[in-house]
Amino acid sequence: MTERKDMQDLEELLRAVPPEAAGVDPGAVTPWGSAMKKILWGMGLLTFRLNLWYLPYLLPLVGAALLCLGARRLRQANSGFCRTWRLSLVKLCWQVIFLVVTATRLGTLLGAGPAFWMVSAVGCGLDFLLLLALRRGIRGAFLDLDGKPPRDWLLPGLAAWLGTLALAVWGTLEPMPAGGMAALWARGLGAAALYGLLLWLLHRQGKALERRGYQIVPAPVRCPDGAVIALVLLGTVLLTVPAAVWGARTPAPAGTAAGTTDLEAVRAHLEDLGMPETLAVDLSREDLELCEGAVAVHESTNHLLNGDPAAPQDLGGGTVDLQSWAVVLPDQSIRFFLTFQWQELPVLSLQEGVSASPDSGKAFTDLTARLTWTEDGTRLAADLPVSLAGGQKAEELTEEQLWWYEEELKRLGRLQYQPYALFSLPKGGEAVRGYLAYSREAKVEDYPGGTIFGGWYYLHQSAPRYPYQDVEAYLRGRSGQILSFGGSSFPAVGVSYGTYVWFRP
Amino acid sequence: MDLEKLLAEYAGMMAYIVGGILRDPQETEECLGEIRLKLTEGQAAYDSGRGTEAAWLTAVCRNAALDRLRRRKRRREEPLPETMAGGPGPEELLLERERAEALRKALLTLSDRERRLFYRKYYYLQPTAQLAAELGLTERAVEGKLYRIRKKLQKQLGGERP
Repeated sequence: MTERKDMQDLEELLRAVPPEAAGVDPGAVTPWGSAMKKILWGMGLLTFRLNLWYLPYLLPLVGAALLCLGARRLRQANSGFCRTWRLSLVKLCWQVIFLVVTATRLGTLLGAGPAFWMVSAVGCGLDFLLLLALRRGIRGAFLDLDGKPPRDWLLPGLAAWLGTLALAVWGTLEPMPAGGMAALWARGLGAAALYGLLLWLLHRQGKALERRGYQIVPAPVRCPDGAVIALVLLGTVLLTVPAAVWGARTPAPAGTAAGTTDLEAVRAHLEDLGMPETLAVDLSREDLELCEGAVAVHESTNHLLNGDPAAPQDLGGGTVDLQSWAVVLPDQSIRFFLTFQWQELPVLSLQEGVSASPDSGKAFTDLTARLTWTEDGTRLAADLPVSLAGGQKAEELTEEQLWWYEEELKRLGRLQYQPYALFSLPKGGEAVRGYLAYSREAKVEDYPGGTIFGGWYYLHQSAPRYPYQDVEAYLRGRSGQILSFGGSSFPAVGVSYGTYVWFRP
Repeated sequence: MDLEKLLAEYAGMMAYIVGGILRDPQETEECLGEIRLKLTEGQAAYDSGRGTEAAWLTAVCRNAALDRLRRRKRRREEPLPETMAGGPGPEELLLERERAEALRKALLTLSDRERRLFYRKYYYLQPTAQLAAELGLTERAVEGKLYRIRKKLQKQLGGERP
């Protein structure tokens, strides 16, 4: 009885303390308003990115969750809102999957070509269906006294959305428009303005129906809004971390048992000339054929950017020894072998790369790359595919680059290529080593004091990165530009190492 | 003030407030009818100096619904404690004013959200399930929040139950 009496007293007492006397707005009780607010914020966060720390990834995820939570509240009002909620759930899952895939190699595969267009089409289709369902829900839930739907603010909003999409497609097909930077800015601002218009129209629609929003009966929830957002964030992180480790690994090459060839005499001759056994024994048949009749073998001096050129380098908890060798051939050419040998394997091997920057004096030929290791007592070997970066022609260069590379273009007709090979260290492999090799026309007598024949790098990713960053994309540069060597900062990859090849006979 | 226009604009809000207290569609409709009649006959006049139109309407609706609820409870033979014959005297009125002022000050120490929740539960008498659904919380979470709010107010009022 006391509790009931207390409640009655309180009710009576509150007559004398109406809401406005305690600073409470009696009109701000509508369930519709809070749902629309979440939907609006969700759509805003999904589209407008803040490029700071990991916010470009976290904020859209929170946006997808807010969109879902807003639609969740309305889901029982009518079929349109129910469909909005279901589509928002799909959108949330899509966003989570996108974030997880972005941590893996698959992310770069989906970032270009037909896969990119397909993924984009699905994403945009989902957004459009969401807006359509939301519009249908609103028009179904709010009718005037004479049964007419309310004023349609969302229809022009859909048109604005389509305009944004058109500009986005144009931007993808033609990154730099014909009008130059001015057109680029105008396009970007136009897209932002159109999407801002959509959000404003959605806000207006929500506000226009606020007084009637009381008729929406919100659906009960089992999991509070805050808990949903926390679970979504935590779940995404828990999925992303292993994805960044296991999904970011370059496939290790499949090795075959390294056997003998009919060119073992060439191998022995190279060793006699001074080639280390660890390199000679690893040479492929193709390399042995190219080195047949070699007249000399010289160790190229490595000039490190920092540190002792003779000492092995610490990388990712391991130690790798880098050396370069020059095999002088009878046809007045030199075959360079850029070798690496892991003395102690690193803790984690996600991406490894060997990349050369041959000088621009002459073109090079006969690219090969090889990786060898021991597994269960058997020596295995794998030929690595070699790709080429650089090689731009005059019409692909800016004016400044044309001036800078004028001589090189005259000599080669294009910029010098930069070969590279990518791999990861085989799991369970020991005594891992390998090389990247190329031949270059050169008369040793022309360089009595030695010369720099180029530079090369061994790149090793020692820690997972988010988003996944392809070493290959880094080697090729952000927009196909030349990789500049000589710097000490390679932010794309965890740890990198550079050295010059200076041949002094 | 155009009463018809006002009633049309706030019809949803009025139904929401009355429905939350009475929780019966028929009773809600009847109560809304009584309110409209009361307003059109000028039995409850709006004083712009005391607050907004929305605030005035919510107070009228709330009080009307509460009165109807009490009448319903009396009909169901759930006698309420007797009130004093002849209404409260001057001393009781003064005491009540002081208590109301103390409660108002205590309510101002709560956050906006807590105050809104408190009013929705104890002024508008909205059921916990409705509050939970509208706020995106579970019923248990709402009950927990209300318990903490009552404890805070109790502390502010010096141990006296709010």
